[in-house]
Amino acid sequence: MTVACKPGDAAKLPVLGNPVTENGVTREHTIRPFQYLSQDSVNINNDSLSGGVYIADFFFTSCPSICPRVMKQMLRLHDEFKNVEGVRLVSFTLDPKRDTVGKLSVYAENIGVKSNKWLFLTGDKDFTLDLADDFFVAALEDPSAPGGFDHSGKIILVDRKGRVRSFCEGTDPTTIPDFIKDVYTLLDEEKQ
Amino acid sequence: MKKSNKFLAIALLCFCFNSCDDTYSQGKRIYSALCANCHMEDGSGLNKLIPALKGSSYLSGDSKGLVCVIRNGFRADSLGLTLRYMPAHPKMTDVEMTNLVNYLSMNFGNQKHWQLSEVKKNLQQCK
Ligand code: HEC
Repeated sequence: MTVACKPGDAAKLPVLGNPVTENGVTREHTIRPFQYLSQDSVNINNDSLSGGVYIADFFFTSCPSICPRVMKQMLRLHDEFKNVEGVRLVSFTLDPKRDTVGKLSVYAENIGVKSNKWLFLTGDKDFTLDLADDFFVAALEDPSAPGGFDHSGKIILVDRKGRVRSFCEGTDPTTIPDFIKDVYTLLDEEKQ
Repeated sequence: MKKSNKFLAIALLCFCFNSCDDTYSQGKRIYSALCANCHMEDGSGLNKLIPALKGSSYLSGDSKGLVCVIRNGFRADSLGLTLRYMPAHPKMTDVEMTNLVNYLSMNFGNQKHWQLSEVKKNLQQCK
């Protein structure tokens, strides 16, 4: 994180993750194609998000441990970018069995946000656990963990090509200001 | 009292005042470990999902219900739709509870100082 945003650095964020070589072709690390349902029961895939950058996290509504802390920082980011076009927030639930569309909709309402800015997505559990890897988020099902899932509270910045460009720790509010700077840096880059 | 003794007395008094902060240190530790994930370190909560403790009616006046809320928690409604769940803390000792509510009261409430006896009495009246 701090690597990504030392003041005075060239105004470009690094592309995070190791490039992959497939059939002799090397490409940058990107988020794999996905398909989810939003809190409004709308189909959301990578293309739906490619109109701008997005800020992602993984959570579940009944999570008694770090989730509310991370959500608080997501909310802070939401408020920062509420009126900035081309930035959205995306929260993937790790617990689709309990987190139905209806439940996510109540959750979003209680946090007080609108779906055109902040999407809460539910889909296939195992796929989501794998997808988290692409975001460099450690997530696994663990009956002994509070709420049944163990996961890190990272918040991740993805550009419109689906590349990871920055991240911060949702459990540590002091990492947020640098992350906000990174989002603006990326927005500038995408304008060029 | 000799002058040096006076100094000693003052030094001791200062020491006491400093460690009076420590009265809240167990309460703070409990709060950070068991409550802050949801209610946040600064007691601000999370919009309508988790109530702020600052300004909560449970922390104004001498709400007898405060210790019961902490002991019993809140269950999500049967549909699981309100999402307003708070775990129960049935194993918290009376002393821990007293330190916790004093921490809450000092930081988010009306600075009421709870006595152990009062907390015990209120706990006995919890449903
Ligand atoms: C899993 C999240 C969570 C944890 C952990 C948690 N709470 Fe709560 N708390 C809630 C929610 C949600 C409510 C609101 C419940 C309702 O009104 O239906 C609440 C309500 C309260 C209230 C009543 C506030 C009001 O004005 O209605 C108090 C006081 C309180 N909690 C104190 C604590 C203390 C002290 C701890 C730690 C021992 C704690 N809580 C741990 C989620 C949590």
